[in-house]
Amino acid sequence: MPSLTTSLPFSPAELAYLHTSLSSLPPLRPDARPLATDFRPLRAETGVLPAVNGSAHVGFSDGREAIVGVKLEVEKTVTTSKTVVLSKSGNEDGAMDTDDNNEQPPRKQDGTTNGIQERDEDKGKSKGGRPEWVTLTLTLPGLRDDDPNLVFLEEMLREPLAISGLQEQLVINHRWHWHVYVDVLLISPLGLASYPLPLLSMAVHLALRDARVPRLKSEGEEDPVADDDWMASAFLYDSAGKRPPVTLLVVVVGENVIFDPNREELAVADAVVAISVGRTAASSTGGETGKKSAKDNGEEYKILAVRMIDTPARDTMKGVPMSGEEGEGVDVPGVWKPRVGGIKRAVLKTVAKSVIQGGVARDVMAGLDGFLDVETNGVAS
Amino acid sequence: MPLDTSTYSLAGLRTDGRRWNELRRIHGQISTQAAADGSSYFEMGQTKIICTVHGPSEGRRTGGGGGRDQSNSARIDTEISIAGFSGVDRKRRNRNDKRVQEMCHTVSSAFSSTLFTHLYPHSSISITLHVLSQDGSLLAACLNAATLALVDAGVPMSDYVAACTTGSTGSYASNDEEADPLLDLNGVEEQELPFMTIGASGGEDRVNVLIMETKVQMVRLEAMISVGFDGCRQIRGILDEIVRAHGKKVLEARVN
Repeated sequence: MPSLTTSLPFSPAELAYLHTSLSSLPPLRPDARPLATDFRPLRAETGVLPAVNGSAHVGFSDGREAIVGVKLEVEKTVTTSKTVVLSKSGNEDGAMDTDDNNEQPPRKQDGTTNGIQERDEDKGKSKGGRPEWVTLTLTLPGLRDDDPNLVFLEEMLREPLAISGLQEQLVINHRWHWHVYVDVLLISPLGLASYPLPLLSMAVHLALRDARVPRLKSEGEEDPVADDDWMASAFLYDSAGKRPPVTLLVVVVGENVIFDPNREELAVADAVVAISVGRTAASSTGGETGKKSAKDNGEEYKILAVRMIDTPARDTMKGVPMSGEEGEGVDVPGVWKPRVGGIKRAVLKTVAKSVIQGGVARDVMAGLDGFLDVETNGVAS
Repeated sequence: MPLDTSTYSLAGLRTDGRRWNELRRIHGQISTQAAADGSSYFEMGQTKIICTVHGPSEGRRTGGGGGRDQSNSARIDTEISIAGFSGVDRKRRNRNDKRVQEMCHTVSSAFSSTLFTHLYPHSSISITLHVLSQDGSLLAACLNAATLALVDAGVPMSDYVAACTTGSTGSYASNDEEADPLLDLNGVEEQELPFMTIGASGGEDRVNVLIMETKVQMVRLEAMISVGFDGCRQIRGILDEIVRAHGKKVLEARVN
């Protein structure tokens, strides 16, 4: 049974047809999904691996699969020895160790603190973690480990995790912290050409939700000793608080914003955007959130990262009209021309709006929540 | 924690409750991925492997138009990727690890004698193995998973390649001539005891693969190999059952 699915290019006529269908209002999607915001069904299960802190196995309906394992290991915190903190009075160097200088804005000079940054000794923890405590590796059979596309995709998956502040929860004490290793295995016949970003991001999300941190028997500044009782462990993301981010792939065709694009829709896209959304617990202040967040049942959805991805429609061949070649810049309707240029800023705003205020982020998160609820309740009953 | 082998004997139980000649829980599924030509999922105890097979497909991977293709049989390419989360410690493995390359070569040559590659000249069959979790018998599980996937892909072959590990209860240093053979060692046992991977095909106790990386006295070898053959026979039966069960399911879906 030979497989012919690998990289069959589309003809200019097909591309023109797809583009016209998708630009119409409402868009006519090639797989007859009724709404632009409809997602394809996916299969998922968590807790599939024995030797990890958390795991997930996610499969899309076109046969792509991702298996993610999350492992936590204790690591010694490397502290920078001397950090010079300039204060108005200019007395001493800020000789106290700080893990991340950027996280603590220099305090204003006042009588009590002498302009020296001090750790909050009461909590017994240093403020903030470092983003390098989260390592994400992606393995795709057939590709070298340092393949540039692979490295970009790894960074696109890792970046929202770091921005959403996962490293804050990894601090044990001043000298020790947890290092999170997220290993993603992608099994896909088309490889990276299938734009696996949303699949991988959902798999990583579920694996992180499944991840448990062993309970520590040690306290305070002692060297960490874990409790052997796995049932005493706590979830890395506790149920009331934050959620790991999810990255959605969005395609813009004409005036339409289309979610979860399949291969045909990607091939004719005017622009491809990867949006990472996160959910934070409801904050009482609410004032610091910008225009890009919306409160919904007490939870906030925030856009953590937006990346433009080169649309595959640039590399296509142009179509030739029946009447012969037209001059440059003349658009014959129904004849395909490869995409050039970018998209209007207003369109990008529409994309962001439909993700947050249009409720797509909420629906995706609710779907993932519901799935995990079924799993946990199913086990309990 | 080092294994306490003082209680290991023919009569005793091992740390996981098995006797000397018992296999671990073996579970397998065939055709787990619709997108690949052939695919399988295989578990031997806690060692879990996913295998996908693509082929036979035209054209070799290397040397496109320029190279002159002298051989008249298909080429078998194996790739093994061991996930970072597969062991107790998270370890990122380099793709060009010598040990992994040797395993790839072993798998390729094991199947070159059973697959009818002469039917597909100038083609290549590529086997990709993903190790999700390892707890001993890694090479054996890879061979079994690849057998299932090749059957699913419809590549003609003379017989299954069924593999298992077999070892000895006494280490080399103890110089114990009375040491008993063991079947199907788990991860902890493999670190302490000498063991070998044995793969049989042809149904008449013909050895297809035999890899041993540790040392053992010659007098113990015969017992180990005969126990290994017995294990391979059992595993062949299990692999056959898996294939037949899948076939039955497909037929029933067609008929109903």
